[in-house]
Amino acid sequence: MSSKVVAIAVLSVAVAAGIAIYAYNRGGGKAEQDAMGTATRPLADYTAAGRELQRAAAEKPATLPKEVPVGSIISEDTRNVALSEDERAWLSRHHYLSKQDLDATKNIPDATLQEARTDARAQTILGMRLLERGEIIPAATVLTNAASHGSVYAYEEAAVALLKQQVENNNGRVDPIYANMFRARMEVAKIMGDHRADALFAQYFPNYDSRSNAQTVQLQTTEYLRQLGSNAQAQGTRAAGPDPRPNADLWDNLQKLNEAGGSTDLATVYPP
Amino acid sequence: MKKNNVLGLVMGTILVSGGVTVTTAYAGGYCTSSGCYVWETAPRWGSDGGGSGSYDNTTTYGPEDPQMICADLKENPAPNCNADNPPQLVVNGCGSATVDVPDFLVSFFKPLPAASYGGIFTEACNKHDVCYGSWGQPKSSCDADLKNDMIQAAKTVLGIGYPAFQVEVEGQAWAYSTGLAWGPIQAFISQPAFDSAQAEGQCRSYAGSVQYFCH
Repeated sequence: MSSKVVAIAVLSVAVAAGIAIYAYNRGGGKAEQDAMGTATRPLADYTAAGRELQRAAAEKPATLPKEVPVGSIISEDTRNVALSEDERAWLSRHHYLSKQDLDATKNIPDATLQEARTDARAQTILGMRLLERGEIIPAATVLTNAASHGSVYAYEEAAVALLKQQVENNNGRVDPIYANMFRARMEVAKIMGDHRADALFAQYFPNYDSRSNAQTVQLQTTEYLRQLGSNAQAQGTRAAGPDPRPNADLWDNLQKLNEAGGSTDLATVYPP
Repeated sequence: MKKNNVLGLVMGTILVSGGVTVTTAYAGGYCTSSGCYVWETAPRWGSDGGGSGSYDNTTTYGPEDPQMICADLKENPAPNCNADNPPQLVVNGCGSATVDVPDFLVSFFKPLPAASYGGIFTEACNKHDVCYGSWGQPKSSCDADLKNDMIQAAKTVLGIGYPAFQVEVEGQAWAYSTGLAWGPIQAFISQPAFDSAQAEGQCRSYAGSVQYFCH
């Protein structure tokens, strides 16, 4: 893209000048004042929406740990399962949303969520709504923004949605380029703390040869991390850093136990 | 039909017309003067339509002997291509390794609120990078998709603030996409950049084909 950027630089000067004159002549309207006045605010600042989120959280019934067969844990999406109280707190902190969570916030208008640009939960909810509507690039943009502010779940969902879009556009086939990009996004999720990202990746690419694409994936991972940091930087906020999810060893043991024929053994899980 | 399936369809059609079981779906391919070869290095998306499934390991290719295909590939290599070490595609948003091009909204008179929306064009530009680097993609559709994706992303992120920045958003989307098709830019900068990305994509496709049919 090296030559392209030169073109863009040249054009940008011309366009910026035109835009500047146009915008200056047009003057500021109400929408402009709104935009200028809502730089970055958390959702809690929007009283009604903040109350809505608090109400949804308060109405959530308290759940007790329960015993579940190992096989049924491993066969589901293990990202949303906690094996300890601390891991449940981690899931909550990184906005792993259930369908119930999303339903409980359906009264919050999109516009309110859009304005809460640095609120990871609000952006995750908005991104999931957009995904449901099939607006993949806008959804990925919003979810990546949520990831910049601490939602690992949002980053993983964006990665899966982009992969699916690429595959669907390719008649159900996946190009190695996309596999590498997805691998790099999972590496970012792992760096941010989710050791279950490997399981998510294996769900889609069980036979991926990580050695043959190691350099590409490493470069792409670095770039994706830069993009996350750059987004938060532009918004004047601190980028989310690594926050390791508890129980990495325990999950490994569960996986091995399941593979060794212990799928009916019981393990304790902490429902959200 | 999706634009980026054109190459696959063309290549698949060639094979299907020859009585082969290969469908238009493919994971990669390469054409020599003797014909086009479709290959799969990644397994097929699960039969559930791509929802939650994994991949099965279906593998199909043309009726020709792989050794013949390999020989044909070796005789007709992609230009300036090291098949053992093809150039890799790393998407990098709107910028490049050497020049910073903003992924965020740029406004001459309202720079701070504009930038505070963050990297709203990053994902659109990432997708554009993939489009340019995928062999057989038409440049015009890559650029048109970029413009559309940038505007859609901005509308979503800016919400009620969009009207205030509509001119800037559309200007920036124009500059990043349609502006690249402007005569002098197209001739001297944009087209060569696209050609270079396509040559790299061609090399990747060639290397993948060699990998598939010759090993």
